[in-house]
Amino acid sequence: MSLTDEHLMIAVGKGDMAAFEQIVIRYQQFAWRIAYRYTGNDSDAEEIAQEAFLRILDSAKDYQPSAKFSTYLYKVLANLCLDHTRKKRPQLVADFLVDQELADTPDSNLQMKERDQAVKSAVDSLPVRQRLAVILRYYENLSYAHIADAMNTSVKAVERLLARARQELEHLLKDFS
Amino acid sequence: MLCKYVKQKLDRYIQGDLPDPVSKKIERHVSSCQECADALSRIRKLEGIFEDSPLPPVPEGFSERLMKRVCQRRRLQESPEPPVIRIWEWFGQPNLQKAAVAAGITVGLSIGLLMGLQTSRQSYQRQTVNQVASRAGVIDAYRFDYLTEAPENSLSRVYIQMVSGGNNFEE
Repeated sequence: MSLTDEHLMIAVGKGDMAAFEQIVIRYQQFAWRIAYRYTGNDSDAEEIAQEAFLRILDSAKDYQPSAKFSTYLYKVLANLCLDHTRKKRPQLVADFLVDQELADTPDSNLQMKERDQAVKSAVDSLPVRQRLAVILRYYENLSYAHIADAMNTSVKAVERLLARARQELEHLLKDFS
Repeated sequence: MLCKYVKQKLDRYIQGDLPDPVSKKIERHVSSCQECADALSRIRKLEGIFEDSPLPPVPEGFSERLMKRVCQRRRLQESPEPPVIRIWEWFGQPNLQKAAVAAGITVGLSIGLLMGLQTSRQSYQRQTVNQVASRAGVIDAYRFDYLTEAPENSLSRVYIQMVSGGNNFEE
């Protein structure tokens, strides 16, 4: 029978690196997903995701299983995302690659790809806190209370962030909604 | 129920994140308010756009790279401090302290001595000039001899008289 996340974290706190590796394997997809949605590129996403695990390792001795491990990981990732200074991709190259990819796509999938690209661009264009709130709400389907906890803010503040984000997204994605 | 309040809560209503009594009130309001019904419809459509959004897989070797980084960090933390002697520790050693103090005193005295010599040389030079001036007279000391050829009562003659302290001309 496999150990729970909380048991593994207690073991990590005692220096068990095998337990840490288990945590990494279980949650690497989770961390990668959020980091990638936030940054939009592989290298930054990997940097954030790895840093999240390193922070968890560093604070493992003080870890208290008062909430689910995933809640704790959301918090760490949210902090790292907000601290992250987004590296600007050379826009022309990115657009060229996207256009090339769309040109190579069969028509049946083209509309889907265009929509996905538009959604990605729209989310990327949001201010950082709105972007993070959107990711946690629409990709992770977290409740407002969980989003508020991860972002270290109030439910009311999350309501305001998402209301403004939705207004902007509706405008940017009106062709697809 | 005010539309402004309802619109704020619509997204949470869709999620089922509201207490039952509040949900029911919103439901009743939306059924009779076209504006709020439209807002609800827009929020649902927006939610639908995010469904099935593709995501690239975790890069291959992610966990291996992470564990390698962890091992490197541990090695750095566990390795003994490099044999670098910090300057203030070096001077903390007693013999070196004494030597440093002695060197400091020596350098200070040398600088003082040099400055003193410089000052005395300058004052000697000044003294010499004054002696020459007083022995040989102002004319010779400052080479004012050409002024003695100036006409009587000219400015030059008056000047010579002034600096000589009288009507004396040394020829």
